[in-house]
Amino acid sequence: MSKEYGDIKVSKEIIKKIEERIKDTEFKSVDEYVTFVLEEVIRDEEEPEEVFSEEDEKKVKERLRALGYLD
Amino acid sequence: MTDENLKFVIVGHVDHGKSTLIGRLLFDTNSLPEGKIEEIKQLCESLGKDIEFGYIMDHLEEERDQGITIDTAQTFFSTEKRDYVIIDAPGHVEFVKNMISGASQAEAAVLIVDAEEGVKEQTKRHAYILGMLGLSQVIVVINKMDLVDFDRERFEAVNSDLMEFLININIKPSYVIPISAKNGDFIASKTATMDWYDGPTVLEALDAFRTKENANKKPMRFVVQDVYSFDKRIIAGRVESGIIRKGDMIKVLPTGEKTRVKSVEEYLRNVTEAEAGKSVGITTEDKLFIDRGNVIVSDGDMPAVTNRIKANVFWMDRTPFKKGESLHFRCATQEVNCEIEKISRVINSSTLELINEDANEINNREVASIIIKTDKPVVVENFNKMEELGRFVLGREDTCAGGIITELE
Amino acid sequence: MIVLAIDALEYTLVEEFNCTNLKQKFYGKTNITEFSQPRTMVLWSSFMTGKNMEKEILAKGDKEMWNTRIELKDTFFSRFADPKIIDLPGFNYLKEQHEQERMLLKNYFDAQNIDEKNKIRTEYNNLAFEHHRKVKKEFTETLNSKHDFVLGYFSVADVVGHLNFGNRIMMKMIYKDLDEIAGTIKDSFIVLSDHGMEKVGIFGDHSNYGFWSTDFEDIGSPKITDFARIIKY
Repeated sequence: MSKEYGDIKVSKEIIKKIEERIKDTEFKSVDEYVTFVLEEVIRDEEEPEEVFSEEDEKKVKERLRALGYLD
Repeated sequence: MTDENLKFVIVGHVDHGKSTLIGRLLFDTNSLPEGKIEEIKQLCESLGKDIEFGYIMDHLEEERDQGITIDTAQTFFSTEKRDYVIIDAPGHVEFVKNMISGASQAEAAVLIVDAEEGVKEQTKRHAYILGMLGLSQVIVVINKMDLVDFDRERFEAVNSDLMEFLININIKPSYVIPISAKNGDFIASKTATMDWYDGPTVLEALDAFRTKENANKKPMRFVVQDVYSFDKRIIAGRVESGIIRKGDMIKVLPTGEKTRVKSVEEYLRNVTEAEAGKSVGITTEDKLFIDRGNVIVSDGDMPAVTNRIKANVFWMDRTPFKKGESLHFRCATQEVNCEIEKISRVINSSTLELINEDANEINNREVASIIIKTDKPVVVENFNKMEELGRFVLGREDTCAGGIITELE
Repeated sequence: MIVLAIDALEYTLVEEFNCTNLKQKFYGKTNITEFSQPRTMVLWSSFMTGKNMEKEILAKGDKEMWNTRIELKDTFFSRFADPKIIDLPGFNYLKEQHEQERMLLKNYFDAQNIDEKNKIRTEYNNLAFEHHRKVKKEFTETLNSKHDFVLGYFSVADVVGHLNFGNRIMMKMIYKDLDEIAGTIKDSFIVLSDHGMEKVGIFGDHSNYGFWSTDFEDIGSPKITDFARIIKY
């Protein structure tokens, strides 16, 4: 990931909760913890789905029909 | 295979080829988990290709990018001689912490340098940490020799550059090996690419490392936990190293008084000796003043009895240490108060950058070289000689730091 | 002149997997927006004739469309004295091979349970890879011969991609293999795909742009019909 940063607003209440949570952990700052959590969330969405999905299959079947592969 | 496993760590600049070296060590010793390479094998077959190391590395890197790592905390492989465990390298805070508190200890290290780029700042820092953590068995690999056309002169130049630094921090590598982890030169096999080099391959060099001496073979150290008076006076404690036997001549430290072991007592068992790791009671022929914290040793190879200790510590408390503060010092069952007389160097444990020299404080997750002055003499050893009496903790009410002893006065 | 025609070669993956041989000196996306859908047969037919062939091809119907065989004289290949074309859709597409692929594709979607689907998919992949090995061999042999125009058409990324695009390892290996093939070409060549591919779960759908690369000119965002003019004798 690029090393340039942008700004994000988070409520002070959440920041306080995070500060409490990271007290005896390896996280050095709220920034580090938040980045970690977000990276995990994003990664989940980008992960290749080896899981069978009926919805995906239906969508692709329609597309392949439109492209002439299936009749 | 007769030897126990050997744990080692691979350190050096992040781009100098650590992952490729790990991948190659696993690949060349057929230690990659079958499931991992099965898919690649099949794909290579489908595409009409022979399986090559490069595809494996691609696959492993791909998995790593997706968060599935092959080499998180420990990676295993074997040679004919023994099993090996590669421990995650410094730069990772957990490693430094674990190393000092003895949870998982590397017994040896491989320092990697890129032949084209040469010695970098991170190379030096990692080498420094090796010294600090008491790792004395080191081999150096000068990697990516393929990028410099396997040139001997370049190898000698990088070697010379690195040695200049290592000598200053008292590290003497047992071998310096030119390799190409990507192509597999001199990792498991000798190839024709560098016929000017007649030393060992990396695997041969690893096989030459010593594993930790069996604790039983070390000098006897019995750490006193308690003294009970029933019908007889029983000294209860733990054999940290060596073997204690009925009839042995022993010395009680720190007082230095001598006597003989009259009996070795184990609950409900008749024994005449106890091995390293055992908690037992002993009785002595003479009635000496013995107390919790004393260390009983065999007459002969003596540990140090001192109140001045040079050590490396990993500070693990959020409240920083400030010079002048009194702390508890605990080594085996010995507990005394101490002060830190000097903080020679402070290093950031994740970036390994030097933070301060001759400092006044140590912060959370920092590693420091210090001189400790205890208020009473303690019985200790240099960590490299004997870990059991070379490891200690410092604390306030709770443990704040773990440390290893590097030098004794 | 050599053309590496790779069906469904996806621009973003060429970049992600750093396929330097496929990228050559200049590379980019093609503009296929003039077509209503990114159909393989329509796109390659338009490529070789230099005209938008959508109406003509679609008029044949989905089944017959795959049997299209454009005559040499109607393509820009006729400009060359001794052209060699391997398996190009709309020209000399291997009917049986690709019919079999489409049949297995249909069977996959008709299958009722996962085990059956996986079985069919393995068979489908094996069929595609076997054909790929054959084309690779033929293309390599052709490169050593004296033709003044060679076009090698590779369908593996498209065929395998339809049912496996979500399998990153598999796609990466395929792209690396295609990159290696590009690396063996000594003369000047063009890489061209009819369209790209985008992920739908584990499956792959056609994307709305193709991929091009050359070592002699930055051609910007060309239409697929422009290549008949760009490829000069």
